[in-house]
Amino acid sequence: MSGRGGIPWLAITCFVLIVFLYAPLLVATLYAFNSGNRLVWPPEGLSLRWFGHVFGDELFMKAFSTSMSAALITAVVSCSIGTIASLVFTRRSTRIARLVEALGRLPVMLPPLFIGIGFVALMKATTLSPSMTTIVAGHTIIVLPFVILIVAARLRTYEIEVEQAARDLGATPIQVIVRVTLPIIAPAIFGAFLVAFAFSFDELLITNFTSGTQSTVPIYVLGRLRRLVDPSANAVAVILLLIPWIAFGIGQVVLKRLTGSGLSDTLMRQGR
Amino acid sequence: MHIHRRLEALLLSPLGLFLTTTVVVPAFILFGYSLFIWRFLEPIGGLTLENYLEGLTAPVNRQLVVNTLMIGIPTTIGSVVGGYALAYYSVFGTGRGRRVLFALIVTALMASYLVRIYAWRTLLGESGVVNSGLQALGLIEAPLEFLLFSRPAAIVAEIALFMPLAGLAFYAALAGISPDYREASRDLGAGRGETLMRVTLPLTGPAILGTTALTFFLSAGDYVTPVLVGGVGSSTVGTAIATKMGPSGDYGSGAAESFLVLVGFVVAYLGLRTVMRVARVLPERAA
Repeated sequence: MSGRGGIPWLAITCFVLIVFLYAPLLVATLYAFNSGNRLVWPPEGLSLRWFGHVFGDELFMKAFSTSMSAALITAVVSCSIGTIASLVFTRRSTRIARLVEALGRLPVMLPPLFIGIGFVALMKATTLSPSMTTIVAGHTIIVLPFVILIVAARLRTYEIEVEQAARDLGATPIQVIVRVTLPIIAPAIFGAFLVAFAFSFDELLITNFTSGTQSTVPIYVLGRLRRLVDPSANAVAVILLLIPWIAFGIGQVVLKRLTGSGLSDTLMRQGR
Repeated sequence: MHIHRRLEALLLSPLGLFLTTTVVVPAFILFGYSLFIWRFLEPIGGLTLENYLEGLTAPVNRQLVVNTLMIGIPTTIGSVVGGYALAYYSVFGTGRGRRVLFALIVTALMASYLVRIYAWRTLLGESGVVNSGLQALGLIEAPLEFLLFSRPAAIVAEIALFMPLAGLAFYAALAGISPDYREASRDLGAGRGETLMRVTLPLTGPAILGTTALTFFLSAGDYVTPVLVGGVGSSTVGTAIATKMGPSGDYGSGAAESFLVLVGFVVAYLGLRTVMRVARVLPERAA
Protein backbone atom coordinates (compact mmCIF):
# COMPACT_ATOMS: atom_id res chain seq x y z
CA MET A 1 0.00 0.00 0.00
CA SER A 2 2.68 2.46 -0.93
CA GLY A 3 1.94 5.85 -2.32
CA ARG A 4 2.57 5.31 -6.02
CA GLY A 5 6.32 5.48 -6.47
CA GLY A 6 6.81 6.81 -2.94
CA ILE A 7 8.59 5.11 -0.07
CA PRO A 8 6.42 2.21 1.19
CA TRP A 9 6.35 3.44 4.78
CA LEU A 10 3.60 1.12 5.90
CA ALA A 11 5.35 -1.97 4.51
CA ILE A 12 8.60 -0.92 6.22
CA THR A 13 6.77 -0.31 9.51
CA CYS A 14 5.15 -3.74 9.35
CA PHE A 15 8.49 -5.36 8.60
CA VAL A 16 10.05 -3.69 11.64
CA LEU A 17 7.10 -4.74 13.82
CA ILE A 18 7.43 -8.36 12.70
CA VAL A 19 11.16 -8.30 13.51
CA PHE A 20 10.24 -6.84 16.90
CA LEU A 21 7.76 -9.67 17.53
CA TYR A 22 9.97 -12.51 16.35
CA ALA A 23 13.54 -11.47 17.24
CA PRO A 24 13.23 -12.45 20.92
CA LEU A 25 11.76 -15.85 19.99
CA LEU A 26 14.53 -16.44 17.48
CA VAL A 27 17.27 -15.58 19.97
CA ALA A 28 15.75 -17.73 22.72
CA THR A 29 15.57 -20.61 20.24
CA LEU A 30 19.22 -20.17 19.23
CA TYR A 31 20.30 -20.21 22.87
CA ALA A 32 18.54 -23.55 23.32
CA PHE A 33 21.14 -25.07 20.98
CA ASN A 34 24.03 -23.32 22.71
CA SER A 35 26.74 -25.67 23.93
CA GLY A 36 28.01 -23.31 26.64
CA ASN A 37 26.76 -22.73 30.16
CA ARG A 38 26.44 -19.02 29.85
CA LEU A 39 24.04 -16.97 27.80
CA VAL A 40 26.65 -14.92 25.98
CA TRP A 41 26.23 -13.58 22.51
CA PRO A 42 27.19 -15.08 20.12
CA PRO A 43 26.42 -18.61 21.44
CA GLU A 44 29.56 -20.63 22.09
CA GLY A 45 28.72 -23.56 19.84
CA LEU A 46 25.96 -25.85 18.72
CA SER A 47 24.72 -28.72 20.82
CA LEU A 48 21.63 -30.60 21.86
CA ARG A 49 22.86 -31.10 25.42
CA TRP A 50 20.18 -28.88 26.99
CA PHE A 51 17.43 -30.91 25.37
CA GLY A 52 19.01 -34.08 26.78
CA HIS A 53 19.24 -32.32 30.11
CA VAL A 54 15.53 -31.42 30.00
CA PHE A 55 14.25 -34.81 28.88
CA GLY A 56 16.40 -36.44 31.56
CA ASP A 57 14.76 -34.32 34.23
CA GLU A 58 12.07 -36.29 36.02
CA LEU A 59 10.26 -33.13 37.14
CA PHE A 60 10.02 -31.91 33.58
CA MET A 61 8.73 -35.24 32.29
CA LYS A 62 6.09 -35.23 34.99
CA ALA A 63 5.07 -31.68 34.14
CA PHE A 64 5.00 -32.63 30.47
CA SER A 65 2.64 -35.54 31.04
CA THR A 66 0.42 -33.38 33.28
CA SER A 67 0.23 -30.74 30.55
CA MET A 68 -0.54 -33.31 27.87
CA SER A 69 -3.33 -34.89 29.93
CA ALA A 70 -4.77 -31.50 30.87
CA ALA A 71 -4.71 -30.32 27.27
CA LEU A 72 -6.38 -33.47 25.97
CA ILE A 73 -9.11 -33.52 28.60
CA THR A 74 -9.68 -29.76 28.20
CA ALA A 75 -10.06 -30.19 24.45
CA VAL A 76 -12.57 -33.04 24.84
CA VAL A 77 -14.63 -31.26 27.49
CA SER A 78 -14.66 -27.84 25.83
CA CYS A 79 -15.52 -29.24 22.40
CA SER A 80 -18.36 -31.30 23.84
CA ILE A 81 -20.11 -28.58 25.78
CA GLY A 82 -19.16 -25.84 23.32
CA THR A 83 -20.47 -27.73 20.29
CA ILE A 84 -23.85 -28.68 21.67
CA ALA A 85 -24.42 -25.13 22.91
CA SER A 86 -23.41 -23.75 19.50
CA LEU A 87 -26.16 -25.85 17.92
CA VAL A 88 -28.61 -23.67 19.82
CA PHE A 89 -26.83 -20.32 19.32
CA THR A 90 -27.06 -20.61 15.55
CA ARG A 91 -30.75 -21.54 15.49
CA ARG A 92 -32.56 -19.90 18.33
CA SER A 93 -32.37 -16.41 19.76
CA THR A 94 -34.44 -16.80 22.87
CA ARG A 95 -33.45 -14.75 25.91
CA ILE A 96 -31.83 -17.75 27.58
CA ALA A 97 -29.85 -18.65 24.45
CA ARG A 98 -28.53 -15.12 24.12
CA LEU A 99 -27.70 -15.01 27.82
CA VAL A 100 -25.68 -18.23 27.67
CA GLU A 101 -23.99 -17.04 24.47
CA ALA A 102 -22.93 -13.82 26.18
CA LEU A 103 -21.69 -15.86 29.13
CA GLY A 104 -19.65 -17.95 26.70
CA ARG A 105 -17.93 -14.85 25.38
CA LEU A 106 -17.21 -13.37 28.80
CA PRO A 107 -13.94 -15.22 29.52
CA VAL A 108 -12.00 -13.53 26.67
CA MET A 109 -12.95 -10.12 28.03
CA LEU A 110 -11.52 -10.77 31.48
CA PRO A 111 -7.85 -10.90 32.42
CA PRO A 112 -7.05 -14.55 33.26
CA LEU A 113 -5.91 -13.32 36.69
CA PHE A 114 -9.55 -12.65 37.60
CA ILE A 115 -10.62 -16.13 36.54
CA GLY A 116 -7.71 -17.56 38.52
CA ILE A 117 -8.57 -15.77 41.75
CA GLY A 118 -12.20 -16.77 41.24
CA PHE A 119 -10.98 -20.35 41.46
CA VAL A 120 -9.07 -19.58 44.63
CA ALA A 121 -12.33 -18.37 46.16
CA LEU A 122 -14.34 -21.29 44.79
CA MET A 123 -11.86 -23.87 46.08
CA LYS A 124 -11.69 -22.19 49.47
CA ALA A 125 -15.50 -22.00 49.77
CA THR A 126 -16.05 -25.61 48.72
CA THR A 127 -12.88 -26.96 50.39
CA LEU A 128 -11.93 -28.43 47.03
CA SER A 129 -8.22 -29.18 46.65
CA PRO A 130 -6.23 -28.29 43.54
CA SER A 131 -6.18 -31.26 41.19
CA MET A 132 -6.32 -32.21 37.54
CA THR A 133 -10.02 -31.35 37.71
CA THR A 134 -9.40 -27.76 38.74
CA ILE A 135 -6.60 -27.34 36.18
CA VAL A 136 -8.89 -28.61 33.40
CA ALA A 137 -11.83 -26.50 34.58
CA GLY A 138 -9.69 -23.35 34.47
CA HIS A 139 -8.40 -24.15 30.99
CA THR A 140 -11.87 -25.03 29.73
CA ILE A 141 -13.16 -21.58 30.70
CA ILE A 142 -10.71 -19.71 28.51
CA VAL A 143 -10.77 -22.04 25.50
CA LEU A 144 -14.58 -22.23 25.31
CA PRO A 145 -15.03 -18.86 23.53
CA PHE A 146 -12.66 -20.06 20.79
CA VAL A 147 -14.36 -23.44 20.45
CA ILE A 148 -17.73 -21.73 20.12
CA LEU A 149 -16.33 -19.24 17.61
CA ILE A 150 -14.94 -21.98 15.35
CA VAL A 151 -17.87 -24.41 15.58
CA ALA A 152 -20.57 -21.74 15.28
CA ALA A 153 -18.84 -20.26 12.23
CA ARG A 154 -19.17 -23.64 10.51
CA LEU A 155 -22.78 -24.08 11.62
CA ARG A 156 -23.69 -20.74 10.08
CA THR A 157 -22.40 -21.70 6.63
CA TYR A 158 -23.72 -25.18 6.08
CA GLU A 159 -26.98 -26.06 4.40
CA ILE A 160 -29.45 -26.56 7.16
CA GLU A 161 -32.04 -28.09 4.77
CA VAL A 162 -30.38 -31.51 5.01
CA GLU A 163 -31.51 -31.64 8.62
CA GLN A 164 -35.09 -30.98 7.64
CA ALA A 165 -34.81 -33.73 5.06
CA ALA A 166 -33.68 -36.14 7.77
CA ARG A 167 -36.58 -35.03 9.96
CA ASP A 168 -39.04 -35.62 7.12
CA LEU A 169 -37.64 -39.11 6.72
CA GLY A 170 -38.54 -39.81 10.31
CA ALA A 171 -35.37 -39.10 12.32
CA THR A 172 -35.75 -37.76 15.87
CA PRO A 173 -34.01 -34.43 16.70
CA ILE A 174 -31.25 -36.25 18.59
CA GLN A 175 -30.75 -38.63 15.66
CA VAL A 176 -30.49 -35.69 13.30
CA ILE A 177 -27.81 -34.07 15.44
CA VAL A 178 -25.80 -37.27 15.90
CA ARG A 179 -26.12 -38.72 12.39
CA VAL A 180 -26.41 -35.64 10.17
CA THR A 181 -25.18 -32.45 11.85
CA LEU A 182 -22.16 -33.72 13.75
CA PRO A 183 -20.58 -35.58 10.81
CA ILE A 184 -20.92 -32.45 8.67
CA ILE A 185 -19.33 -30.12 11.21
CA ALA A 186 -16.72 -32.68 12.32
CA PRO A 187 -13.78 -30.87 10.66
CA ALA A 188 -14.61 -27.66 12.53
CA ILE A 189 -14.82 -29.59 15.81
CA PHE A 190 -11.45 -31.13 15.03
CA GLY A 191 -10.02 -27.65 14.46
CA ALA A 192 -11.55 -26.40 17.69
CA PHE A 193 -10.09 -29.43 19.47
CA LEU A 194 -6.57 -28.53 18.32
CA VAL A 195 -6.94 -24.86 19.22
CA ALA A 196 -8.23 -25.84 22.67
CA PHE A 197 -5.29 -28.24 23.04
CA ALA A 198 -2.80 -25.53 22.01
CA PHE A 199 -4.15 -22.88 24.37
CA SER A 200 -4.48 -25.31 27.24
CA PHE A 201 -0.95 -26.63 26.88
CA ASP A 202 0.45 -23.12 27.21
CA GLU A 203 -1.93 -21.76 29.88
CA LEU A 204 -0.11 -20.18 32.79
CA LEU A 205 -2.02 -17.32 34.40
CA ILE A 206 -4.99 -19.39 35.62
CA THR A 207 -3.07 -22.65 36.15
CA ASN A 208 -0.87 -20.84 38.64
CA PHE A 209 -3.91 -20.71 40.96
CA THR A 210 -5.48 -24.08 40.17
CA SER A 211 -2.57 -26.51 40.02
CA GLY A 212 -1.49 -26.60 43.66
CA THR A 213 1.67 -28.68 43.94
CA GLN A 214 1.35 -30.21 40.47
CA SER A 215 3.39 -28.63 37.71
CA THR A 216 2.40 -28.10 34.13
CA VAL A 217 5.14 -27.23 31.63
CA PRO A 218 4.58 -23.44 31.87
CA ILE A 219 4.53 -23.65 35.69
CA TYR A 220 7.75 -25.69 35.61
CA VAL A 221 9.43 -23.08 33.39
CA LEU A 222 8.23 -20.22 35.58
CA GLY A 223 9.73 -21.98 38.58
CA ARG A 224 13.09 -22.29 36.85
CA LEU A 225 13.06 -18.68 35.67
CA ARG A 226 12.68 -17.43 39.20
CA ARG A 227 16.12 -18.89 39.81
CA LEU A 228 17.59 -16.56 37.20
CA VAL A 229 20.06 -17.86 34.68
CA ASP A 230 19.34 -21.41 33.67
CA PRO A 231 20.46 -22.45 30.20
CA SER A 232 18.15 -25.46 30.07
CA ALA A 233 15.18 -23.08 30.34
CA ASN A 234 15.73 -22.19 26.69
CA ALA A 235 15.34 -25.80 25.63
CA VAL A 236 12.03 -26.01 27.50
CA ALA A 237 11.03 -22.71 25.89
CA VAL A 238 11.51 -24.25 22.46
CA ILE A 239 9.31 -27.21 23.42
CA LEU A 240 6.70 -24.81 24.79
CA LEU A 241 6.76 -22.86 21.54
CA LEU A 242 6.59 -25.87 19.26
CA ILE A 243 3.72 -27.91 20.70
CA PRO A 244 0.97 -25.27 20.35
CA TRP A 245 2.37 -24.27 16.96
CA ILE A 246 2.28 -27.85 15.71
CA ALA A 247 -1.27 -28.36 16.99
CA PHE A 248 -2.46 -25.16 15.36
CA GLY A 249 -0.57 -25.96 12.15
CA ILE A 250 -2.21 -29.37 11.84
CA GLY A 251 -5.62 -27.76 12.37
CA GLN A 252 -4.87 -25.11 9.76
CA VAL A 253 -3.74 -27.58 7.09
CA VAL A 254 -6.42 -30.22 7.71
CA LEU A 255 -9.26 -27.69 7.79
CA LYS A 256 -8.05 -25.94 4.68
CA ARG A 257 -8.01 -29.26 2.86
CA LEU A 258 -11.39 -30.46 4.12
CA THR A 259 -13.42 -27.28 4.06
CA GLY A 260 -11.48 -24.78 1.98
CA SER A 261 -11.00 -22.35 4.83
CA GLY A 262 -8.36 -22.79 7.49
CA LEU A 263 -8.43 -22.03 11.20
CA SER A 264 -6.86 -18.63 10.66
CA ASP A 265 -9.70 -17.70 8.28
CA THR A 266 -12.15 -18.40 11.09
CA LEU A 267 -10.09 -16.48 13.62
CA MET A 268 -9.86 -13.43 11.39
CA ARG A 269 -13.61 -13.31 11.04
CA GLN A 270 -14.05 -13.33 14.79
CA GLY A 271 -16.44 -10.59 15.77
CA ARG A 272 -15.16 -9.18 19.00
CA MET B 1 -34.19 -28.13 11.90
CA HIS B 2 -36.17 -26.46 14.62
CA ILE B 3 -34.89 -27.06 18.13
CA HIS B 4 -37.77 -27.22 20.56
CA ARG B 5 -37.63 -25.83 24.08
CA ARG B 6 -36.76 -29.00 25.92
CA LEU B 7 -33.91 -29.81 23.57
CA GLU B 8 -32.69 -26.23 23.79
CA ALA B 9 -32.50 -26.45 27.59
CA LEU B 10 -30.73 -29.80 27.35
CA LEU B 11 -28.10 -28.52 24.92
CA LEU B 12 -27.45 -25.22 26.71
CA SER B 13 -27.31 -26.44 30.27
CA PRO B 14 -23.79 -27.94 30.36
CA LEU B 15 -22.19 -24.71 29.13
CA GLY B 16 -24.49 -22.49 31.17
CA LEU B 17 -24.05 -24.44 34.39
CA PHE B 18 -20.30 -24.80 33.95
CA LEU B 19 -19.63 -21.11 33.40
CA THR B 20 -22.08 -20.09 36.12
CA THR B 21 -20.28 -22.31 38.61
CA THR B 22 -16.76 -21.36 37.60
CA VAL B 23 -17.09 -17.67 36.70
CA VAL B 24 -20.31 -16.13 38.04
CA VAL B 25 -20.55 -17.83 41.44
CA PRO B 26 -16.86 -17.17 42.30
CA ALA B 27 -17.43 -13.46 41.67
CA PHE B 28 -20.09 -13.47 44.40
CA ILE B 29 -17.88 -15.50 46.73
CA LEU B 30 -15.04 -13.04 46.16
CA PHE B 31 -17.35 -10.16 46.93
CA GLY B 32 -18.32 -11.86 50.17
CA TYR B 33 -14.66 -12.43 51.02
CA SER B 34 -13.88 -8.77 50.39
CA LEU B 35 -16.19 -7.79 53.27
CA PHE B 36 -14.10 -9.55 55.92
CA ILE B 37 -10.65 -9.15 57.39
CA TRP B 38 -8.62 -12.34 56.86
CA ARG B 39 -5.92 -13.75 59.11
CA PHE B 40 -4.17 -17.06 58.45
CA LEU B 41 -6.55 -17.99 55.62
CA GLU B 42 -9.68 -17.51 57.76
CA PRO B 43 -12.09 -14.56 58.00
CA ILE B 44 -12.21 -12.85 61.39
CA GLY B 45 -14.60 -10.35 62.93
CA GLY B 46 -17.79 -9.02 61.35
CA LEU B 47 -18.67 -7.40 58.06
CA THR B 48 -16.49 -4.44 57.22
CA LEU B 49 -15.59 -2.12 54.36
CA GLU B 50 -12.09 -1.73 55.70
CA ASN B 51 -10.51 -3.64 52.81
CA TYR B 52 -11.96 -1.16 50.35
CA LEU B 53 -10.92 1.87 52.42
CA GLU B 54 -7.45 0.40 52.84
CA GLY B 55 -7.29 -0.32 49.11
CA LEU B 56 -8.16 3.25 48.25
CA THR B 57 -5.96 5.01 50.78
CA ALA B 58 -2.84 2.91 51.45
CA PRO B 59 0.25 4.76 50.11
CA VAL B 60 1.68 1.49 48.77
CA ASN B 61 -1.40 1.08 46.59
CA ARG B 62 -0.93 4.53 45.13
CA GLN B 63 2.46 3.41 43.87
CA LEU B 64 0.93 0.23 42.44
CA VAL B 65 -1.67 2.25 40.54
CA VAL B 66 1.02 4.59 39.21
CA ASN B 67 3.07 1.60 38.04
CA THR B 68 0.02 0.00 36.45
CA LEU B 69 -0.75 3.17 34.49
CA MET B 70 2.89 3.85 33.61
CA ILE B 71 3.18 0.35 32.16
CA GLY B 72 -0.40 -0.08 30.94
CA ILE B 73 -0.82 3.16 29.01
CA PRO B 74 2.34 2.97 26.86
CA THR B 75 1.71 -0.77 26.39
CA THR B 76 -1.82 -0.11 25.18
CA ILE B 77 -0.81 2.69 22.82
CA GLY B 78 2.06 0.64 21.40
CA SER B 79 0.00 -2.52 20.92
CA VAL B 80 -2.99 -0.73 19.43
CA VAL B 81 -1.01 1.45 17.02
CA GLY B 82 1.28 -1.41 15.99
CA GLY B 83 -1.62 -3.84 15.72
CA TYR B 84 -3.56 -1.37 13.58
CA ALA B 85 -0.62 -0.93 11.22
CA LEU B 86 -0.18 -4.70 10.87
CA ALA B 87 -3.89 -5.24 10.27
CA TYR B 88 -4.12 -2.34 7.84
CA TYR B 89 -1.40 -3.80 5.64
CA SER B 90 -2.81 -7.33 5.87
CA VAL B 91 -6.17 -6.06 4.66
CA PHE B 92 -5.34 -3.29 2.19
CA GLY B 93 -1.74 -4.14 1.28
CA THR B 94 -0.65 -5.43 -2.06
CA GLY B 95 0.89 -8.66 -3.26
CA ARG B 96 1.83 -11.78 -1.37
CA GLY B 97 3.13 -9.80 1.59
CA ARG B 98 -0.45 -9.34 2.72
CA ARG B 99 -1.13 -13.06 3.26
CA VAL B 100 2.30 -13.72 4.74
CA LEU B 101 1.84 -10.89 7.21
CA PHE B 102 -1.51 -12.23 8.34
CA ALA B 103 -0.04 -15.69 8.86
CA LEU B 104 2.78 -14.14 10.90
CA ILE B 105 0.31 -12.27 13.13
CA VAL B 106 -1.63 -15.47 13.85
CA THR B 107 1.57 -17.46 14.43
CA ALA B 108 2.83 -14.82 16.86
CA LEU B 109 -0.49 -14.98 18.69
CA MET B 110 -0.19 -18.76 18.99
CA ALA B 111 3.37 -18.52 20.36
CA SER B 112 3.68 -19.39 24.03
CA TYR B 113 2.69 -16.54 26.38
CA LEU B 114 5.45 -17.31 28.86
CA VAL B 115 8.15 -17.73 26.21
CA ARG B 116 7.22 -14.43 24.59
CA ILE B 117 7.85 -12.73 27.94
CA TYR B 118 10.89 -14.71 28.93
CA ALA B 119 12.58 -14.34 25.52
CA TRP B 120 13.19 -10.65 26.23
CA ARG B 121 15.64 -11.68 28.93
CA THR B 122 17.88 -13.30 26.36
CA LEU B 123 17.84 -10.06 24.39
CA LEU B 124 18.05 -7.47 27.14
CA GLY B 125 19.92 -9.32 29.90
CA GLU B 126 23.34 -8.39 31.24
CA SER B 127 25.04 -10.74 28.78
CA GLY B 128 22.15 -10.65 26.31
CA VAL B 129 22.33 -9.87 22.63
CA VAL B 130 21.94 -6.11 22.94
CA ASN B 131 24.56 -5.65 25.64
CA SER B 132 27.02 -8.09 24.06
CA GLY B 133 26.53 -6.42 20.70
CA LEU B 134 27.09 -2.92 22.02
CA GLN B 135 30.17 -4.08 23.92
CA ALA B 136 31.59 -5.84 20.88
CA LEU B 137 31.15 -2.67 18.88
CA GLY B 138 32.98 -0.78 21.62
CA LEU B 139 30.05 1.56 22.18
CA ILE B 140 29.78 0.73 25.87
CA GLU B 141 32.28 -0.64 28.38
CA ALA B 142 30.03 -2.30 30.92
CA PRO B 143 26.63 -3.91 30.30
CA LEU B 144 23.71 -1.51 30.52
CA GLU B 145 21.87 -2.83 33.53
CA PHE B 146 18.75 -0.75 33.08
CA LEU B 147 17.86 -2.67 29.91
CA LEU B 148 16.37 -5.50 31.91
CA PHE B 149 14.41 -5.38 35.16
CA SER B 150 13.07 -1.95 34.49
CA ARG B 151 9.74 -0.42 33.66
CA PRO B 152 10.67 0.16 29.98
CA ALA B 153 11.60 -3.52 29.70
CA ALA B 154 8.17 -4.51 30.99
CA ILE B 155 6.53 -2.11 28.52
CA VAL B 156 8.50 -3.47 25.56
CA ALA B 157 7.71 -7.07 26.50
CA GLU B 158 4.01 -6.34 26.98
CA ILE B 159 3.71 -4.47 23.69
CA ALA B 160 5.09 -7.54 21.92
CA LEU B 161 2.76 -9.70 23.98
CA PHE B 162 -0.49 -7.91 23.13
CA MET B 163 0.17 -6.51 19.65
CA PRO B 164 -0.77 -9.72 17.75
CA LEU B 165 -4.10 -9.88 19.57
CA ALA B 166 -4.82 -6.25 18.69
CA GLY B 167 -3.77 -6.95 15.10
CA LEU B 168 -6.24 -9.80 14.81
CA ALA B 169 -9.12 -7.74 16.23
CA PHE B 170 -8.37 -4.87 13.84
CA TYR B 171 -8.05 -7.28 10.95
CA ALA B 172 -11.62 -8.44 11.50
CA ALA B 173 -12.84 -4.83 11.75
CA LEU B 174 -10.94 -3.55 8.69
CA ALA B 175 -11.87 -6.54 6.55
CA GLY B 176 -15.50 -5.88 7.42
CA ILE B 177 -15.50 -2.38 5.89
CA SER B 178 -17.25 -2.26 2.55
CA PRO B 179 -14.76 -1.03 -0.09
CA ASP B 180 -17.51 1.32 -1.33
CA TYR B 181 -16.99 3.74 1.54
CA ARG B 182 -13.27 4.11 0.93
CA GLU B 183 -13.79 4.42 -2.81
CA ALA B 184 -16.50 7.03 -2.33
CA SER B 185 -14.13 9.00 -0.13
CA ARG B 186 -11.45 8.94 -2.83
CA ASP B 187 -13.94 9.82 -5.54
CA LEU B 188 -14.99 12.82 -3.52
CA GLY B 189 -11.41 13.99 -3.55
CA ALA B 190 -10.07 12.88 -0.19
CA GLY B 191 -6.42 11.81 -0.09
CA ARG B 192 -5.12 8.68 1.61
CA GLY B 193 -4.57 10.43 4.90
CA GLU B 194 -7.97 12.04 4.92
CA THR B 195 -9.70 8.78 4.00
CA LEU B 196 -7.89 7.07 6.87
CA MET B 197 -8.76 9.74 9.42
CA ARG B 198 -12.32 10.50 8.39
CA VAL B 199 -13.59 7.23 6.98
CA THR B 200 -11.55 4.16 7.94
CA LEU B 201 -10.73 5.08 11.55
CA PRO B 202 -14.31 6.04 12.51
CA LEU B 203 -15.67 2.90 10.86
CA THR B 204 -13.35 0.83 13.03
CA GLY B 205 -14.09 2.99 16.08
CA PRO B 206 -15.89 0.28 18.04
CA ALA B 207 -12.98 -2.12 17.47
CA ILE B 208 -10.49 0.53 18.55
CA LEU B 209 -12.43 1.19 21.73
CA GLY B 210 -12.87 -2.51 22.50
CA THR B 211 -9.27 -3.44 21.74
CA THR B 212 -7.81 -0.50 23.64
CA ALA B 213 -9.88 -1.37 26.68
CA LEU B 214 -9.04 -5.08 26.48
CA THR B 215 -5.31 -4.48 26.04
CA PHE B 216 -5.18 -2.14 29.00
CA PHE B 217 -7.17 -4.59 31.10
CA LEU B 218 -4.91 -7.49 30.12
CA SER B 219 -1.84 -5.40 30.90
CA ALA B 220 -3.17 -4.45 34.34
CA GLY B 221 -3.97 -8.09 35.03
CA ASP B 222 -0.69 -9.53 33.74
CA TYR B 223 1.14 -10.50 36.88
CA VAL B 224 4.01 -12.36 35.19
CA THR B 225 5.69 -9.79 32.93
CA PRO B 226 6.27 -7.21 35.69
CA VAL B 227 7.97 -9.89 37.77
CA LEU B 228 10.02 -11.59 35.04
CA VAL B 229 11.33 -8.55 33.18
CA GLY B 230 10.05 -5.52 35.10
CA GLY B 231 12.03 -6.05 38.29
CA VAL B 232 11.26 -5.02 41.84
CA GLY B 233 10.09 -1.48 41.10
CA SER B 234 7.46 -2.54 38.57
CA SER B 235 4.82 -4.16 40.77
CA THR B 236 1.33 -3.47 39.46
CA VAL B 237 -2.16 -3.97 40.83
CA GLY B 238 -2.08 -7.31 39.01
CA THR B 239 1.04 -8.58 40.78
CA ALA B 240 -0.31 -7.33 44.11
CA ILE B 241 -3.65 -9.11 43.69
CA ALA B 242 -1.91 -12.30 42.53
CA THR B 243 0.33 -12.27 45.61
CA LYS B 244 -2.53 -11.59 48.01
CA MET B 245 -4.76 -14.28 46.53
CA GLY B 246 -1.83 -16.68 46.25
CA PRO B 247 1.17 -16.95 48.57
CA SER B 248 0.11 -14.42 51.21
CA GLY B 249 -3.50 -15.61 51.46
CA ASP B 250 -4.87 -12.16 52.26
CA TYR B 251 -8.17 -12.91 50.51
CA GLY B 252 -10.10 -9.96 51.92
CA SER B 253 -7.89 -7.23 50.60
CA GLY B 254 -7.03 -9.15 47.41
CA ALA B 255 -10.71 -9.50 46.57
CA ALA B 256 -11.51 -5.89 47.48
CA GLU B 257 -8.69 -4.64 45.28
CA SER B 258 -9.96 -6.76 42.40
CA PHE B 259 -13.33 -5.06 42.60
CA LEU B 260 -11.72 -1.63 42.87
CA VAL B 261 -9.68 -2.40 39.74
CA LEU B 262 -12.86 -3.53 37.98
CA VAL B 263 -14.65 -0.29 38.90
CA GLY B 264 -11.63 1.77 37.85
CA PHE B 265 -11.56 -0.09 34.58
CA VAL B 266 -15.24 0.59 33.85
CA VAL B 267 -14.73 4.29 34.60
CA ALA B 268 -11.70 4.40 32.29
CA TYR B 269 -13.68 2.62 29.57
CA LEU B 270 -16.55 5.11 29.76
CA GLY B 271 -14.08 8.00 29.77
CA LEU B 272 -12.32 6.68 26.69
CA ARG B 273 -15.66 6.17 24.94
CA THR B 274 -16.60 9.79 25.60
CA VAL B 275 -13.25 11.07 24.37
CA MET B 276 -13.54 9.00 21.19
CA ARG B 277 -17.03 10.32 20.53
CA VAL B 278 -15.93 13.90 20.99
CA ALA B 279 -12.98 13.26 18.67
CA ARG B 280 -15.44 11.79 16.14
CA VAL B 281 -13.73 8.45 15.80
CA LEU B 282 -16.67 6.60 17.33
CA PRO B 283 -20.25 6.81 16.08
CA GLU B 284 -22.72 8.10 18.70
CA ARG B 285 -24.68 4.90 19.06
CA ALA B 286 -22.01 2.25 18.66
CA ALA B 287 -20.56 0.21 21.52
